[in-house]
Amino acid sequence: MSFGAQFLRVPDLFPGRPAGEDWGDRAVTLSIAGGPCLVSGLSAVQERDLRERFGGLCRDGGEAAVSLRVFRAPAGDFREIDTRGWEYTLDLDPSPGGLRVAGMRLMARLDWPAGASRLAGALWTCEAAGEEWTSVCENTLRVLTAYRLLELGGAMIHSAGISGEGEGYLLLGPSGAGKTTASRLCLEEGATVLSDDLNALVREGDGVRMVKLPFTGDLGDRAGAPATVPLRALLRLAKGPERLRPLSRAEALAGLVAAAPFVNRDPWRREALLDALQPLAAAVPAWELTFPRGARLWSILKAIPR
Amino acid sequence: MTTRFEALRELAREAPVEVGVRGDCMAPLFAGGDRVRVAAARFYVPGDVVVFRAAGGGLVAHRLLGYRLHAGRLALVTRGDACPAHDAPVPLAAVLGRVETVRPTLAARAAALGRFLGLALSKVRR
Repeated sequence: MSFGAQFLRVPDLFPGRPAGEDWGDRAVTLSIAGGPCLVSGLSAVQERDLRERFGGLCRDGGEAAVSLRVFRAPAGDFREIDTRGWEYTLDLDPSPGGLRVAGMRLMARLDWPAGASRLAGALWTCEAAGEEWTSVCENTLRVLTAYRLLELGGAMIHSAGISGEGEGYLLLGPSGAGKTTASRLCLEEGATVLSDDLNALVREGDGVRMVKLPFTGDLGDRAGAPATVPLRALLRLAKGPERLRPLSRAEALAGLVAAAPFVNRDPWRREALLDALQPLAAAVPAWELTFPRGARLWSILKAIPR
Repeated sequence: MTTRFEALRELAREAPVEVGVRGDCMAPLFAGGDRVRVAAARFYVPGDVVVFRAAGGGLVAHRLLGYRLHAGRLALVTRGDACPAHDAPVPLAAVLGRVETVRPTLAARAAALGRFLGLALSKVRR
């Protein structure tokens, strides 16, 4: 299926450049890993909904590292989709100069204009307000954040981020591998969870820091979790009896690449992704962890050799 | 660099990896800017387009013509469809996978094998 055909009635009409009719003149700046993101072109209702969704991460104005401009699109541009039993995956079309994104009631593009100082995103949607609008915006922000972190030599990782006693553990694995189950087990033992869906990794000196992102899974936003914590270990989750097996550098790197959403589907930035992830994989020990239901997982994590 | 390639091989074993094409070595099959999906396979057959790590570290997608012994081990003999010469022997350990979207016909496989035999015969004559 060609790009966008799943979501758009006429994929050939995908906007060729970031232009169109704004929803309004309101803007909000979100403090997200990778630097403040200015979301502009909003109506008053859209701004209010974003502030409700992202809460304390919102502020007015100030310098931004990335920008997202929002434009109107007619509802007729988008296909109606029966979502029963359907797993939602954004359709991406990367190219050397940018990225096109199609999804449910959204078209977006990221561009790296020559000489531009910051990554620029544009979003076209027909969603004027409410949860549908914030979902469209959040889905676009996830992509934007992944690319922004990559620009900085970091990564957004599909993972559960566990923290406690001033250190962090990143649990990797595809959907169904047990990230949310593992997060719940650790919570029961007194650990905290940054996110059970997406966490950021950024380099700091010889080490790595795990940074909380406002993109969560089944557990929702975990109040009280630290915003950032030094990473102590990477763990690839697998099913089976309790076992801890060290991963080779290549296995750890492969695990991180597989868990770096959006950017790992971009062949034009694969070298940049490997450049970013290789030092991250080398900076902390990596293990494959299998655990049974009801395991005292947090105790297992704390006992991992340094 | 080995770690990076090993990681890519791990990924290609699990699911196809998308690779961007640069250059015109495989014209008209691929043009620069195309994207191809690469998957690891247990066997590679003449006519397959295989992606491997070249001596410089970059990835190359060329047609598999056949096999030969090199430094006591089996190696692939490859060549770009639009290239005038074949490549240096490619160790099996340097192969990432084959391009999924290319399904060579029997005639295309026979043509690749014919090129390989022609190459072998020319070496024998020398």
